[in-house]
Amino acid sequence: QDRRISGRVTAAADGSPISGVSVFAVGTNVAAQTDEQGAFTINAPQAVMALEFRFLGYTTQRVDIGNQSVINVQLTEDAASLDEVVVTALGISRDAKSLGYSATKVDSEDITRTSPVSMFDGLQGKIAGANITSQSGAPGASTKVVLRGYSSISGNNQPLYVIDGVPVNNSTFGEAEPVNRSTDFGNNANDINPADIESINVLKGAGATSLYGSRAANGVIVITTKKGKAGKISVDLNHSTTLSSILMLPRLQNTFGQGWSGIFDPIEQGSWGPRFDGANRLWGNTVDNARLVKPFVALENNIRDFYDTGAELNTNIAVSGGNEQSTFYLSYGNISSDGIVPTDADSYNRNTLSLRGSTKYEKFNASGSINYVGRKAKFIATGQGTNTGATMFQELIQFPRDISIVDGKDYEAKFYDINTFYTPYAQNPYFVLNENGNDFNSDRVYGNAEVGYEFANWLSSTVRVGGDFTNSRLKDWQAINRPDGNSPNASRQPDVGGVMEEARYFGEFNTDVLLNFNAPINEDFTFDGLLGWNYNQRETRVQTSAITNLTVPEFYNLSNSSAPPTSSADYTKRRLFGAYAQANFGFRDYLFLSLNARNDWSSTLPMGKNSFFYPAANLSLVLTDLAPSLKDNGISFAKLRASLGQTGNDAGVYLLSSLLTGGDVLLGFGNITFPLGGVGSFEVANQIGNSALEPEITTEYELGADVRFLNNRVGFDFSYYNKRTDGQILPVPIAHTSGYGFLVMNFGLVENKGIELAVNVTPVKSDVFSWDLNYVFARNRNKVLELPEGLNEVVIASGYDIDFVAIKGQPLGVYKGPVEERDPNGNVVVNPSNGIPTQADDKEVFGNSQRDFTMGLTNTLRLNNWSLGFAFDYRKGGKFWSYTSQLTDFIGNSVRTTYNDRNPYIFPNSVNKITDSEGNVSYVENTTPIDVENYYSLFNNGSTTQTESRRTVLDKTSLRLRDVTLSYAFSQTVASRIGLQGLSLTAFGRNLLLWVPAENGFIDPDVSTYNNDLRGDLGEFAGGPTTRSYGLSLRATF
Amino acid sequence: CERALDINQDPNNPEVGKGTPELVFPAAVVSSAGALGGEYAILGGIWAQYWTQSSVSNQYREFDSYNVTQTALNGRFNEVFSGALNDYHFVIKKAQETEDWHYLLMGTVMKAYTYQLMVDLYDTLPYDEAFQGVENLTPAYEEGYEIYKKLIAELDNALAMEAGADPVDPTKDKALDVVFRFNMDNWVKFANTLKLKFYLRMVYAQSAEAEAGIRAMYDSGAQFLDTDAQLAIFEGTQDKSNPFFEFNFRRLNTTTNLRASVTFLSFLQTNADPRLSSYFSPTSGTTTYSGNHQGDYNNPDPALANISVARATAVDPVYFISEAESYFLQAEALERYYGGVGANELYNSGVEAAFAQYGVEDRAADFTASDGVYVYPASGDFESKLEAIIVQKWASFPGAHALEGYIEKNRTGYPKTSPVYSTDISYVPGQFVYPKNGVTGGQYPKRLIIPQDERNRNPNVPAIVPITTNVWWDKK
Repeated sequence: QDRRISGRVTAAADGSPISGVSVFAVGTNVAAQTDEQGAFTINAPQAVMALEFRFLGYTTQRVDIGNQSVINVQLTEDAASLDEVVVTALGISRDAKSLGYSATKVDSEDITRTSPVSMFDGLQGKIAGANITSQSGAPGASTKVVLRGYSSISGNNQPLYVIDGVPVNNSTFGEAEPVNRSTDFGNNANDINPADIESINVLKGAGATSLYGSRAANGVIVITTKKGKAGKISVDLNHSTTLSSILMLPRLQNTFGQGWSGIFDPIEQGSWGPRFDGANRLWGNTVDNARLVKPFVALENNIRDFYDTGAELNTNIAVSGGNEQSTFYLSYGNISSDGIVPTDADSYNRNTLSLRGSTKYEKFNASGSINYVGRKAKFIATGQGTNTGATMFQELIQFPRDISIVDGKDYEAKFYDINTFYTPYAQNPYFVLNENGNDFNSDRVYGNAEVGYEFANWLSSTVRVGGDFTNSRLKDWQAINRPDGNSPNASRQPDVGGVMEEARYFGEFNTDVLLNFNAPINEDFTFDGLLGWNYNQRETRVQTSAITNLTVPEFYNLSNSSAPPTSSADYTKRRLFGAYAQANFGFRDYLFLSLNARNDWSSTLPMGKNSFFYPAANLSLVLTDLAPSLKDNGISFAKLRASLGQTGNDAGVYLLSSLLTGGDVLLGFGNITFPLGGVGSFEVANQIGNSALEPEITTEYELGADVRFLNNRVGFDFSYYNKRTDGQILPVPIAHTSGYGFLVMNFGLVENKGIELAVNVTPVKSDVFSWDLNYVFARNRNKVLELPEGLNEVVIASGYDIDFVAIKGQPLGVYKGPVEERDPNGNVVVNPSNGIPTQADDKEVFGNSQRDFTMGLTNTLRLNNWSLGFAFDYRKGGKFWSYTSQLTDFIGNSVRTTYNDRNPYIFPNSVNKITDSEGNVSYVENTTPIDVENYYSLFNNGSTTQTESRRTVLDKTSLRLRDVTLSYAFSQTVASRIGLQGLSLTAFGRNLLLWVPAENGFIDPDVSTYNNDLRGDLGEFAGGPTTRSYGLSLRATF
Repeated sequence: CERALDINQDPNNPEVGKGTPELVFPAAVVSSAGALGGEYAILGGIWAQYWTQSSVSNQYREFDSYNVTQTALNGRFNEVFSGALNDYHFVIKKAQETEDWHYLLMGTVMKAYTYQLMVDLYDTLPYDEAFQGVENLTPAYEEGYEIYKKLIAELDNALAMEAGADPVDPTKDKALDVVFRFNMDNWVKFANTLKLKFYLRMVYAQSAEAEAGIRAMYDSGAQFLDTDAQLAIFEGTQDKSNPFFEFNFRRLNTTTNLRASVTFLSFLQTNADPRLSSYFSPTSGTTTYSGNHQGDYNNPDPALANISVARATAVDPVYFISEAESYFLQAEALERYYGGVGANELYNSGVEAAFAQYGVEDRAADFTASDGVYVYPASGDFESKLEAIIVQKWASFPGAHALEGYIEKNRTGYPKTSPVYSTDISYVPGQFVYPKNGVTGGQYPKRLIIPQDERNRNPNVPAIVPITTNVWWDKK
């Protein structure tokens, strides 16, 4: 006979009811769950002596029944696991201890401490295994996030971003042509207002991510937004003002001045002239029979003086509230930022508006959100410019060391205008800054709607629909800059001016239908699971028109040219269906097994062969629950975990067939494009399609442990993973004598393996003073294990002579460049006429982009109402290519151009090569010194001959003081006196200090002008400086 | 679900099955012109000593110092193979399928023209196994002589098919034939002249075969070009211009890389050649001309910043075989095999046609008259006549046609090579000199190295042969 027992479960902290608590009749398989009011009813057999109450995040409680028929229970939050409720795949919360994989959670406070524009700014160096870098110091610049190393050679290594269970778009706008003119208007993930984020969970391994399907192979960033809470309406107001300044500029020589070949030349843009002697010299052009005069001394800060202080205002207001049934959250955020370049040519303005709500009615629940993001930005183009116009950073770094840049601020004044600027080889950067520019506008709406129905205590269903739609418009223009034919600068190629307009649309539509099971079998076994179905469609439209050769100066419209505009349109559309299932088993709250599987059908794979399946399993064992005696030995928590999983990835669009493309002949410099002479023509495309493509599959296993000692005062979290991505889909470069340049195929095997360690220590903890220390360490090793038969390497990107390539047996992304020719004894072959090395036939490998390891250290100290935090980020090893170093070499500005004090010297161990008329080769010792006339040639002995290219590939190591924050939270009593619930003030600094190795005297190694993926690791092409910033923020809650 | 997934047809580019000879042929011809009349012509023009690298810029230093490696012309090599030649392959295949013998001839002539120059530069190349796409990703290499024979056979076949073909459909849009507007007589003449060029190129390596081939053509009454085989559809705007102009003048940030070489300038000045002002701009601020010695780009003399710069315009044609070149080729053939009958007239016509390219044809007669500086040495020995022919040919090529001047110098040895540098008092104007900063120890370049993309992707590429090693026909 059963006993009927009822009662109510409430939270010990505030007495609020807790729904969904599992109630077990101990020793049987009888169980029940609490309802919305926390009430439960259970029919327990007579023999049952006790009930057990379990709920995620709360301490499990066992209550003896005795002869009670009503049992009311107060559950207390579980200190050990309180912070460890993790939102996993598809928005499902799970107790961290049940997870068999590593998941890192970051809370709102950590994200917003320094009032960043991007949610990632506060996370750099704080998540083991997540490599996060800002692409430049420009406001709104994009952020690169790579989890556990690069695994895809084709370049999509970005994690999937999921907001409240719905995937969103993280496309970028810009990166048109890194060498010539590239712009970076940010990535869409940076659109999300950090102030709206409740928490971010970083899921790195395949075991954790496979339910998300195709795009999750590189990990998932799960974002949970803030929601309204039951209770009175609360208003949160937040404002910060931030100033920014230069963090790092090239360190240049200050010994030699304007000139070339060792001789003073008043119109040269290089510093290959004589040693500074302080004497007055005439320089620049003769204009109206006048010359400028200046002392021949270095102006050490001539570049720094060009820059301003940047300013950023960041304001957020959120109103939220609700009752037992319904909640709402409404927020508005504005960021208005103007960077360190004078004028507003580097500016960023973003408005975000979010509305979220939820409601419940009987067995139904519904929630939804809608978000708007409006972006307006202007960006300083990087690269070397084109014949339509120059780029600014390139002009800034090629000034002689003795010439003032700021004196040219009035770029229409005599000696500084187009015709009379001191040199024909460069342009006044103020002209470029003021006359060439761009306007970027973007409107984005994203959101989701979700309806749930509870069929029974153990069975519910959810339908979730999400959409993300972005419309962007870019206008980019360059002014005519044409020296008069009889002016001193007549020999310079004129900039003909141009206008480019581009409209882009991105739309994503996603639907998930979920059936959730939650069936506590008995007190020993628990089971929950889900079945799901997914539909995803992504669509892009890009329309571009451009003109060159402006007819009317300073009038920027597509009509303003004698030649018709060139236009192009590009459309893509892809669809995917997925079916998935997950089953989670628990045993006695210490052993957990999770199995999941997914099958996808993709439109981008061959019809009939477009289905692919991938499973995952993970296991968690909580030792401290298995053997509670461990707790007596100072081990407060110990868990072992293991996971094995796969994720599949479909192809890009339209790779299955061979195509025709519009006639376009590449000349090397410039092209010839059709229509031409009244004729249109198409050519056979250089890429061979492949109708037998298969999905690429990533297989990963992971082992880990989470151990905490001394009452959780010391904790270690360790992971080892091994990830292999096989059958990558890539247009593989093939010999052009086959008639084609690329063949789309599955190929290649890339392995990433590594370790991640997080250590948390609380050396001091008291009511008055506490000190928390968080250390993360990660080391990833990747390797290209296979390339297609007969292919030695795949070039990922190139900058001048440096190729960034995948080579079998080497890490993904090694740098190769030309080197000196050598004789059989290893001596350097030099040209007998000038003593400069000749170039060897084959390029050599200079190293790879992979870091030896990364680590971060965060300290937080609290004293009463004061809180001080500071974080260091150290990234050791790896290389990057720097065009800034190459250009400052060429121009004689870099410190290394002062080698041997620029005195003539014989290249060490050099020989001359003698070829007789029979073609026999011999070598004799070289006696020709490199003299001062030819010194510059050593650094630039030709447009494609760069025997010294090795030195442009630099060590990427950096140590940064990422951030410092000092906060004061006014006490509740003080706050309430002025009608507030809470009030705090924070002074903060971001990116305050940077240390780099001596060989990198050029640029912050985080800067990349290529893209925010693998290609971006090539390096920078005339990139801008990064910034340090510092500010004050105020937060008030009403 | 399956139907919802059937959306993977590219809306941006047509499928290759939609291609026709009419659609593809113009792009292929422009690809040939773009590569061979662009960067290859710049290399050829420096090596033919029309131009030398400016001392105040540095774009072409490797060319001018013979410091070329496998990185040189990598992109152009690719453009020729996967652009021009693969598209001719497509045109020829489609023409054979549809029995369109006009396009068979047009495609074959342009393919043979393009291939020959590549063989002349690289010596061995893939042929039978080329253009097979996925069927053969690593084509085997063949000797240049074998490729020559195959190209000549293909030309013969295409000529035979054309001979039996119906006339061109008169309603066809004539602009689609960007070379001859469907004047098939001219295509036949182009094919014959090209064959003549093939045979003359091999005259020192396979002399009997060359002679037999040429005699067979004359015996059958073959007609040769009496007009320019050229591409003349360029426009004065960006991306639509003559490739030499677009590359060297519009797209480089310095327009003055190519300066007058003393080698060529001294020849023009000594002979008071009226084409001088078309080939070069005057020294800055003057009406006279000056040049730099070949390869002396490290000379710090500031006056060198002002010397004469190479000239070209955006709408200059790209010559495949110019009218003048056709006459010079015929003159050489007549001298070799027909006792020189008519050679003098053809030589004079050649000079006149060459002058006509620059609008000074009315001056030509003065130069070829008996007291003229370019008079044909009718009473001289064969070598003196050959020298006159080749030197005049050389003097007609600067610009997008410059590569031919370099190749013919290698074949014939003309213009002669000077024993001294051009700064020497005993220097004879117009003779080749070893460039000041040359890295090949006094040896002239005779070939190019198969470029790096091909080397990296095709294991069948032969080992690197030094650029100073002669190609197969270079036996004089």
